Amino acid sequence: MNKRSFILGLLVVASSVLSACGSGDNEEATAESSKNVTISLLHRYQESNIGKSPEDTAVLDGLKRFMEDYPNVEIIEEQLQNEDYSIKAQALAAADDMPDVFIVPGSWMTNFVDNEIVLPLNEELEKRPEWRDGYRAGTLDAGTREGQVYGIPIAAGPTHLIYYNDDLFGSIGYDQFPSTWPDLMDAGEKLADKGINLFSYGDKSKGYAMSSWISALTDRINGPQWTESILNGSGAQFTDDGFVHGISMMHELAKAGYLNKDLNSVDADTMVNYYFEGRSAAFVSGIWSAMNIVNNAPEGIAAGTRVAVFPGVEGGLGNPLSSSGGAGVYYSVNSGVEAGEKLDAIMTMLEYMTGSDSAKLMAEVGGFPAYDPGDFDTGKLHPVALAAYEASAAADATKIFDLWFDASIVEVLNTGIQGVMAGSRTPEQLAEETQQAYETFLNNP
Amino acid sequence: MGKALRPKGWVLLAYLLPGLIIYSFVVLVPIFAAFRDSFYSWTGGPKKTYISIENYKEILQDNVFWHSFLNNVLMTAYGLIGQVGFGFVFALLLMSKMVKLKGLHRTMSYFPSTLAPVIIAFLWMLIYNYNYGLLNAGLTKLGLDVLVQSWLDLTGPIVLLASIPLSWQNIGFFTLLMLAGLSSINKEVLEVAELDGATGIRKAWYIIIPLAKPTLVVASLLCIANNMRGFEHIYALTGGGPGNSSSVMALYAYETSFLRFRYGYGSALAIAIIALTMLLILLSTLALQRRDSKGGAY
Repeated sequence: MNKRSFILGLLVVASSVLSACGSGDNEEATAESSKNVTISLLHRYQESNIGKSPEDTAVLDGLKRFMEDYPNVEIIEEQLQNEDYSIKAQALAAADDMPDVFIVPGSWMTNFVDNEIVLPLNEELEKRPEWRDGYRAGTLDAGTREGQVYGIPIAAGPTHLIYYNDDLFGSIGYDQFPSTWPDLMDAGEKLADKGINLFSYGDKSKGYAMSSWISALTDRINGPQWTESILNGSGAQFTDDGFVHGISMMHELAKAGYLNKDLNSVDADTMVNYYFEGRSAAFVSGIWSAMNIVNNAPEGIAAGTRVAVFPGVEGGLGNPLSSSGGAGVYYSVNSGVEAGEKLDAIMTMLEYMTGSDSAKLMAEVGGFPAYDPGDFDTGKLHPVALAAYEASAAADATKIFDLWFDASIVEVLNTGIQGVMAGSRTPEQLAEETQQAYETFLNNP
Repeated sequence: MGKALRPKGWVLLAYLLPGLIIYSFVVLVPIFAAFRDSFYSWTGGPKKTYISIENYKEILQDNVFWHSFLNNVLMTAYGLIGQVGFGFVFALLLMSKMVKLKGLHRTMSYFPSTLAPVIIAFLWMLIYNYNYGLLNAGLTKLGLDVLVQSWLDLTGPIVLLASIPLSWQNIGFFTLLMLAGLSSINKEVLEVAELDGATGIRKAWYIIIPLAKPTLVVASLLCIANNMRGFEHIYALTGGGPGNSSSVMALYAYETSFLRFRYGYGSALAIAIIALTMLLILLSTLALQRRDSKGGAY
């Protein structure tokens, strides 16, 4: 009995393994027979988000239109959740097994360019100048290295906007958002007396502080030259007064009790919920939160919500109306793709997904596309979404640190700021540690 | 087993072979690969630069790593008390005559072990939550408002707070393990002890613990190994935060590789974790064995 069942078992295992391999081959074979070109596409936009997220809606609509217009192109598409995407894409990159087209966040770009994972696209864009020149100023920058474009941006727009409850501020005597820091602290105190937090804040997933607070605050104080100097390695340091000052201002808000106590252990969704529940009078977030308010806020809250940016800082060198922003993520092409029919199809697909029509749609459903949509029908937009769009268009976008600084520096800052907000380390210590990571990075380019 | 029933050598080998092959592919090969990568400066692409033992030198000076290591050791200590210790006490209670509805208790205590770590972490996030959490609500009900905290934002006792869910989950497993060990103790020995007047704690201390020592040793080693490679609970519960205060070695290695793009250094960290864990297990095995030979319990 033993021998027979053993052989039978082996056969079952072997056949299932072999058939699994076989079926994959078959699929590809049939695809190739009916289609001329096959493009593999890995991204983080999802069917289930259509109608909820402007980016997902616009990109997937573009893809659908492309597939209708080009039936000869087979697209093997994989949609992943945001975090799953990061893990899978990095594992594939490490194994040198990337698909043809994929998404690259700005902070990965240097690494991917250095490792020759992504293809320079200048030549291809040269053939399509009208499309290339339609992008808003600066949105191609974080995807460009030494003049070569490696990534096509999707959405842009500020990562720093303040959504505030006009009624709550009105009840403490402010008919608009405080325009100076002393006023802001005063409002914080008056709100605290009523048991309401000035801002709700949620940095559990690390990165929120950097993209929505630190980049904008540091710019208010230091001006954009400081950021440039850090990026060029031409003298500026994280231990400079301005950077420490910005972190100290965040620390003071936490220490004074104007933020929610569980600021490090809740995520951005909970932060927004605290605002919806009236536990806080405002929250700082990017343009993506506008549609969240439109879709999910209680009616009274949505009607009373206005949009502002941080007030200017006394003696600050930066523009008090600016916001951190720019394009955050890019579509890149695998460096293994050779010029020809396939690359042509890929560029056309990207134009469908991120170009003019897609941009218009994204703006109409409340997003802020990297491609300038020109005039579009603003009538359909909710007042909050419109206010966020107008603030975005008016704001002088300054660089978002997490997209520009190297990932090793970003990680130290993201982790360290939690310690500062929890009160277990000082802003000076954080500046010191960041500077150390920065020097390590400069020494090993 | 009689000789006639024993399968032939090659049959045994054939049965083991699939497992062995899978094991070497998912465990041994990656370990060797990580060992090789640990000598390179590698940012995650096709380019690698050989840098000899630089990565290991860096580990020696890496404060965050050693802080994470201490957190692992602390978690192991909490685990030995919370998982093995309480598991043993629970097993003793389940053996004693005082406790009724033993089946129910056994099922209830084992239940958390069947849940995924991420679910456990989520559940405890809700318990610890500042505004809606069970813990704070309970404290308020008891009139202890002064103790109400945003628990997961405390940097001091965060490792203890993160260890409690871990113990809660694993206690059932260790209780079962102990029950199996305790049930192998000869009933007659226990009866004789009772006739001699040893009951309750005295019986446990003088009779049961010495006789259950082999089980306790195995359970302790399992617990040490589990806690040294802990990752999921911390990742889901605190993400190592606030700051680095609840970071553990595996989480730090993961962050170094996947968030900071330092795959070579991350590999070196992974090898360091294996080495430190093996060292700790070796030391504890030696310590436990020496006490055995001194006590001469068996």
